[in-house]
Amino acid sequence: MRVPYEWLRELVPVSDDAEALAERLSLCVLEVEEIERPLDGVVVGHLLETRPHPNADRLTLCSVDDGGEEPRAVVCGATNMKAGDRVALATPGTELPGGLVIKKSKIRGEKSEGMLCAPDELGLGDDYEGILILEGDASPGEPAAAALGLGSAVLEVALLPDRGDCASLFGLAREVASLYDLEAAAPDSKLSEEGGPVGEGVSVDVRDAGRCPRYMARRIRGVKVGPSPEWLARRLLSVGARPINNVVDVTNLILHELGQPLHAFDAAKVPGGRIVVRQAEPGEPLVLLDEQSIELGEDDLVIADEKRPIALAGVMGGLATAVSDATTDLILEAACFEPGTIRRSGRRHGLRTDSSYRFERGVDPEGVARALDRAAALLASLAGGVVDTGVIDLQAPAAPVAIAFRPSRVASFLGLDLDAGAIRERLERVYVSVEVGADGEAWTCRPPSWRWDLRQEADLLEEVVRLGGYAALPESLPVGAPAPPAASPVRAGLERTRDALRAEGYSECVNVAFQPAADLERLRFGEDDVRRSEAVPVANPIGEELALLRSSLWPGLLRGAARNLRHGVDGLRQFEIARSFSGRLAKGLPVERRLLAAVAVPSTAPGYWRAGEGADAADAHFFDAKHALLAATRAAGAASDAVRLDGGEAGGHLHPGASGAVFAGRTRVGELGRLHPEVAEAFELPPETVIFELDLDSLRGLAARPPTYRAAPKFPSVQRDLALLVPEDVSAEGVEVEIRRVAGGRLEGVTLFDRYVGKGIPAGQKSMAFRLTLRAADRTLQEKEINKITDKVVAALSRSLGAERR
Amino acid sequence: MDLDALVQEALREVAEATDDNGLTQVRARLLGKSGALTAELRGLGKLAGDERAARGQALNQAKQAVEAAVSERRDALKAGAQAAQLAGDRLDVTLPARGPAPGHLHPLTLVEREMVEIFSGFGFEWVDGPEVETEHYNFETLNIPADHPARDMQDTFYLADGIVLRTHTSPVQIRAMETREPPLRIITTGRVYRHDADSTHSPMFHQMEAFLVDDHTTFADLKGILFETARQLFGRDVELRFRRSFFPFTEPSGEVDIMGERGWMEILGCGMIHPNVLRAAGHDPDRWQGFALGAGIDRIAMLKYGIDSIRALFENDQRVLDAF
Repeated sequence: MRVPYEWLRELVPVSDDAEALAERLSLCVLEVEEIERPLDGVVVGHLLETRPHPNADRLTLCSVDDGGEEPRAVVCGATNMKAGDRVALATPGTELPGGLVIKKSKIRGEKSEGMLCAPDELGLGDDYEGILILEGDASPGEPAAAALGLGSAVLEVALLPDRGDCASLFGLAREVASLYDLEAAAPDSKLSEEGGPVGEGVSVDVRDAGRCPRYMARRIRGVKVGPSPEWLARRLLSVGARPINNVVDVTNLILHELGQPLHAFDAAKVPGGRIVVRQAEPGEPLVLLDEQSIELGEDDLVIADEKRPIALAGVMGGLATAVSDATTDLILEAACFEPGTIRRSGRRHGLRTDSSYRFERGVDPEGVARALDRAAALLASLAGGVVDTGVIDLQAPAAPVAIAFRPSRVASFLGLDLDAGAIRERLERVYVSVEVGADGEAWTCRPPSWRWDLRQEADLLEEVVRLGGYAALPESLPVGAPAPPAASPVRAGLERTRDALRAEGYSECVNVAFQPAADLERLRFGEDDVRRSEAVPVANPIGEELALLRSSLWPGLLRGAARNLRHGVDGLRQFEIARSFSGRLAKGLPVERRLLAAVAVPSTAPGYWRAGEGADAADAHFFDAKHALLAATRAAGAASDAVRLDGGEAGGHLHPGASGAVFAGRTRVGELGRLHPEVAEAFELPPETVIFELDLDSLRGLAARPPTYRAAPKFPSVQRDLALLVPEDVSAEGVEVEIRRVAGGRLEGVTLFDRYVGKGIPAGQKSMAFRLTLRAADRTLQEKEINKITDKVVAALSRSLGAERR
Repeated sequence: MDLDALVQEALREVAEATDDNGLTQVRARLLGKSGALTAELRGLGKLAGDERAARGQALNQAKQAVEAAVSERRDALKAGAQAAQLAGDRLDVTLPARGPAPGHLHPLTLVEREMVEIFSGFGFEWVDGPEVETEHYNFETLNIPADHPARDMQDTFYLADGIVLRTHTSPVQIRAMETREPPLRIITTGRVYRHDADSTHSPMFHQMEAFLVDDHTTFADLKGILFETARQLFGRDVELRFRRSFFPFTEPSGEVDIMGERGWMEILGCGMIHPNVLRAAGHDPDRWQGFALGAGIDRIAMLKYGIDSIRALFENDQRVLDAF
């Protein structure tokens, strides 16, 4: 809300300047986001002398007093000014509303140190015939905006939903009066009623008093619709409203000044002056002022004539009864509507007006008459109307609000040390009436009619503390802490996982949790894949690209990786930990699973320690990623032997020959693989790109058992190496599992230490070398026993896997 | 025999020996089984009393002198050989380190950890909550009825009728209060969503929320926690401002600003938990009281690290992440 400083000062005699006032308001009630200086650099100039320009017929040399020591010389093209006039002088450096920047210059040989402005150059209408001559005798050098009624400073106040009463100049002035302990004075609403009795021309029937607790109306005859006087136009401009005509402008002025929305009907278009406030009939049509047609519902409250609605109550008037240039008689409405009704109507029809904004937050039922009278008086004087005698005022009795208040709560709830007198004084400063109970503790407080937000004790406590400013509140720390909290295993697992991946060289990403449906296709997820079939759509997405909640972390991560590569990043390891969403909403809230996803793009740059080239390098890259994946599973809480990678189960988005699913027992908990070439191409990533994913919620269930002590072995172990020729399709894990199965209790460990395919190895086979570590707990193993074990292993491998010893 | 000459000759040979082998030979010649000194020592028994004692002493001194010289020379030779070997065996330790260079945690994670740590110090326990919420938990129980203008403060993503992406972390407050009895000190962190995307907003951002319920904690205690938190985050001499604000779920409500390069910057909102909220979660506001506070992790990260655009937080540009 725009609050012109001088206007506010007309209503409350605050002596602080705009900055100090803004700070006080920010601290105690509503934040002032900005102080605007309208027409900054344009000052009041006193024209001392004019004479013709020696080298140009149409130009005039002016000598202008701008409050400085020497008068300024300004060359001017207008002719409507004379010595003694007050003018608007734009000083050098000023940027005018149209964007023109004023500079010192020479015009036809004569120096010019500024510009005398025409109204259009100041953004005050479209008059450019002559320069603006200011009325009154403002001091030279003072901001022109102040002299023009635009305000030397305009406070941009951020309104908050609870303080609808501050959504007007007078409302804010009342608040300022509370803060500074001053009196706010409402603008003049004295009215002379010179016309016939109002009841002869207007009758009102409120059929829904619950939703329209007060309805007032006056009739004004013989108005002449035309432009507003300049002071009124500028008042509206100063709060950011556009002047239209004198009738509309007066209602708008009252809205901004007193916070009471008004509506003027063309009386000639309301048959018999008959006004009905009622619930709308379902399907009833109404064409609004902005020519939009709406279809009403029964939850809408309308102002109607005998037959049809003529306004959507509290939101917008109808076109049929709108004031036009031909209007002569007005019915002026000032009412009070139930906030929820107005809000629902506004939302249902997608309408948000200055009027609905105020009704939604609650207007002062006791302020209606003042607003109506002031509007009527202004219309009589500005539009030449005659106000009928008497006023229509239908008011439903309001239940009085009484709040029980315990002054001891100021200390025990706020931690503020104030005596009862000071507490009472603060409450009374915000117009709350206080009735002290017999024991001094049980007070009964009654808030003023405009404070819809004061309903319980806590609300009054806020008034007490904010009036002194939160700066006056002492700083203490809560005492009596409960026992220190147990560390959350969920959080601990997440943080360990992050650290583990960081140690593996991965950097953490955060992507926005939405994805386009097209990405799921590009990932080759099948139509029956839950990530596609149960992806959760957003009902009101920001756009196509953000249409679904993400069911997979891949789209964000892969897009980000490609973006990085386009920026020239070489070799990339990134991960993200975030939730995926899936499920059908008909069955309740979607399932949220915390996933880890990672992408690793190999570097193409030469690296000193790089092992292997070409295929070897790509393989090394894959197994580096596997290392990271395993590190993450352990960090996430799983025991080191709890998960295994199964090469047989790849997703469609992965390379079928270079991918696997991660299993914990029979539960699939993740995946690892090279991208499917088509996916790699679609996301513009190299085909060696490896990705992996883990379901962290599942892994947490596989918590490692606490460690148990085993004494160091007393007898030595022996190592035996087995070099084997194995059919190509037998996996390393397959061999290892068989070795473990056969070797028996003496086997302590198996390690693959070499794998080779190529020269010297028959086609369809590969060489694999395993080192077996054997040990007996109670003696040193003898050669015979060792040979027996290895022979047994070799025989079994040969039998079940077709392996032979080299 | 001339014992002195023998010893002098042996010591010369020891000094000239260039390897272990030469030393062994010199020693064997004098002190081996058939060595000259060994023979002399064996012959001592034939000598009489006094002469035997004198001769024995001389022989032993000679033996020790030779042994010591051999041992010393052996050590010297060994040291020399090792030095020669080390001199030739040089590693360029300035070659790059092996193994992956560590990656980087996201700045939002760094700030989130810092905040959780600070509140852990105040005795707050971290809990988690869902990102998809019902309107009941996201609004109604937080004293934001359907027709209240406060809903305008939070443009909402809807998934279905009554189901929303949480617009704040506050529903966690209700869920925790519903299942636990005060006294409570709880913190939660996580992603929240608002239907808003322009240069200064992201449809997804991050909040932390801490709340405390007991039977005595005051608004002044809240101020102490707020200011201490801000000082731990931004330094002891940070300039702070605590001003009145409005949130439907707290009363009184406030916001904390810190003085930044471009004037006051809001860093968190807070207040005493609204009696209606305590009631909605099943607690009697005449018996329990407490505060709640919430902060935008993104905003704090931006202030702390001088990040000028919220979008930079979600672009995951590796060149940017490398700084963290």
